[in-house]
Amino acid sequence: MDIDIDLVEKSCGFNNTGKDFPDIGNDPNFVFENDPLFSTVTLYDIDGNVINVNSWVECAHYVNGGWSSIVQTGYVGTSILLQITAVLYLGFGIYKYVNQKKQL
Amino acid sequence: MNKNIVLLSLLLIVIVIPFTLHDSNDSFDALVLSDTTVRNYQSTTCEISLSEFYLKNRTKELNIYFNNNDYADVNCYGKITGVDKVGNSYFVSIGTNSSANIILQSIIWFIAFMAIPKSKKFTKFSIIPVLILPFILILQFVGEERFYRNNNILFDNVIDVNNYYFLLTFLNLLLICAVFNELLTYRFNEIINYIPFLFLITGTYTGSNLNIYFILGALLGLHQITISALNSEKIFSYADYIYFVFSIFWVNNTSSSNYYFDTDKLRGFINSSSTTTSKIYWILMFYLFAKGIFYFLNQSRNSLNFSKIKNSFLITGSLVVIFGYFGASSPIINFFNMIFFGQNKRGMKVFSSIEGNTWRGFSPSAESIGEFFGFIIIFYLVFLLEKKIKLSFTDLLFFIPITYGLYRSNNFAVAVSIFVLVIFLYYKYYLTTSLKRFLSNKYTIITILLFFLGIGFYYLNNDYQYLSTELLYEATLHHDFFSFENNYKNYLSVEQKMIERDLKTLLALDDNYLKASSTYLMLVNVFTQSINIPLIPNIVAVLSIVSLYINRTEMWGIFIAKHNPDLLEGYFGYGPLQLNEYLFEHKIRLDVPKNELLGLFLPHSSLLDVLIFSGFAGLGLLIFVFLKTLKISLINYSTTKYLLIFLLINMLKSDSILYLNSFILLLFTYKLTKHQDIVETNS
Repeated sequence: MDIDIDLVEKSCGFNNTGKDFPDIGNDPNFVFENDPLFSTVTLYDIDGNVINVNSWVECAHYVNGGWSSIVQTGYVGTSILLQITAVLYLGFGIYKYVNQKKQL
Repeated sequence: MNKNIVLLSLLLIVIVIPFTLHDSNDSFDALVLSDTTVRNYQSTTCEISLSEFYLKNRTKELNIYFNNNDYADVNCYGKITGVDKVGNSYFVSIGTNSSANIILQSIIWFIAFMAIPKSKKFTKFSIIPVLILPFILILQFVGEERFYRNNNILFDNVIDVNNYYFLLTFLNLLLICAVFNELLTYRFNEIINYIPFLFLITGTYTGSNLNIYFILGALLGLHQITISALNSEKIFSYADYIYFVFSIFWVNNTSSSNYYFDTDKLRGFINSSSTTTSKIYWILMFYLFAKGIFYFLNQSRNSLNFSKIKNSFLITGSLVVIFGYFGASSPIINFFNMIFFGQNKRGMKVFSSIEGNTWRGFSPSAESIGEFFGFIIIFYLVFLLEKKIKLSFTDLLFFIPITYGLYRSNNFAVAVSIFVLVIFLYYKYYLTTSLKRFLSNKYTIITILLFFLGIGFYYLNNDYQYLSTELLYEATLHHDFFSFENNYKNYLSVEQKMIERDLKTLLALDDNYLKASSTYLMLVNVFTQSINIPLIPNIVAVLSIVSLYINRTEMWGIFIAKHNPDLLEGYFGYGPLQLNEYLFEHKIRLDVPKNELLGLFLPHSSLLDVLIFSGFAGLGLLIFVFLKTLKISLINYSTTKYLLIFLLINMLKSDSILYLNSFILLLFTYKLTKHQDIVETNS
């Protein structure tokens, strides 16, 4: 089974299992084994559904089926943190100002 | 209100809030965890906060482990991102986005930093290093792409104006440097008395290969350069020029292979990738860090207050034991220990040595924390006797957890070192003059020495063949010389050649010569040389005997099999904090149980670590510097020489130099010894 390894690695990270990607196809009985060394990845589909995957193979399977970890949430997440950082800059500025005032 | 109470309350608020935030009007409620509700948690991700979950599942009957999911997005921070059942345990993943961690943990540690009292003298630092350092730090995010891509969903290394991830990271690093500059102004001279707290607050950012002390050290290094430049003083010393020459070799020798090391317990103080950018980053940062630490120790040594630092040691040692115990007993505390203290590996789950290293989390290895506990005891003993400080009841109380901590660390070498030192100090301070005179008599010393030499010679003579070859034998086993599937068959084939002392034939067989590491070839050459001076043992034989007596034969054998530098790398090493080539370049088949094959095999000697980083040239220079310091301190009878000797001896058989806090402790002790020599020589 062909997989777009670049796309998979973008969502799932690198394949550290040392095993090749198995041919799962549409087998409904295939059971994904949990990999305790794999940090759980949350994937999203185009409809906004969410799923957690617990092994690289499982993650690769879903990404190959159109799921992704990036669905615009990355941008939202970064902007939230940028806003928090801006508040911290403001807080630091006030702290410095108060400190300078105290010294005068 | 007391300043420390305010800071502590602030700390609690900062750490608790991100894990309690949730939409109380949503339809997602935390459920009692069971096999049937696991699926609910799996389909309802990033909605239920840790606090909601914990309030519903506080019972001890549930075997829960809170896993940190650093990869998760920001909207999942502090919330459940998944639950899995593995065996009888439930693995509950909590979103802990790596970028958000940089913000949260910096706030926590800066608040803790503010607890250090302001000194009367204040030092004004230039803004220039604050503006330079973030540009150097951001190099890491370019060079260690594999590490960060695996650990942060937000990671994006496309050089583009719309790359907000880089902008965010840069702004945070700039703010960290600016806040440090501000805090240092009033506390620079006081920090030295709180150095032991490095062993409690490890300072490694969760999900990043960054450590706050590493940043602080580098900032101070840049400050020193700036101050020297602004005052038109000499900026670089001979040591700097030597480092620059080494750096040229290190950068030129960067491997073209794309090795990746997940950093494991060394996170925050090791290069994860073998790219040129990351190598330049670590070479530059290590230089600035070491320069900064030396600058700091030189400038603030006069502010060292032995009573304060003694208290810091006692409090830190005790708190490591107390929080380690709580972390092992409670999964939620175990989770918060990691965030709060910046542990580079999760703390032990169960309070038993079988479960891995005791005090794991607070220390990467049981050896290094054992050395720390031992250091505290020796520090106290030495100053109790030499500085005539009074032994207080409170101090005695602190020794209960510290001694227990040492006992649980199973560090036999530290226990022996303490025992020997106690005997020495007893001899020095409490023996009667006549007995002392008798023991100091040169004939008595010669008799005792001859007695021990005789015993040693007897044992060596009886088993010399075995003792002298065991190290090479172990190294041979870890090579892929005989490619039988069966390890035992390989073992017998190697054993036969070892019995015949026929290593050269073994190397000549098949393509064994190509399979052997360069270190192994060199040692075989030295061991099988034709020149044999009677009564002078071969250096490899001596190493072998030492390794057996200190239980390092297997680890050093693995090192010999793995370490495969070319000529230049042999002389200059791979560069500071570079283990990729050592770990991955030379393929060997380790003769260890299958379940251990994926483990991290470090050399188990700080000397060997230095050899990997800086080659024979660097190792030679370092030994020269330490011997010079020790020679002067032994002549001058400086008090701290015992501490330096203790650390150096123990580091011979541990990798402690690879751990940031142990490394700083060594530099601190070295500077302390050197400084005391100057003081005592002058007086």
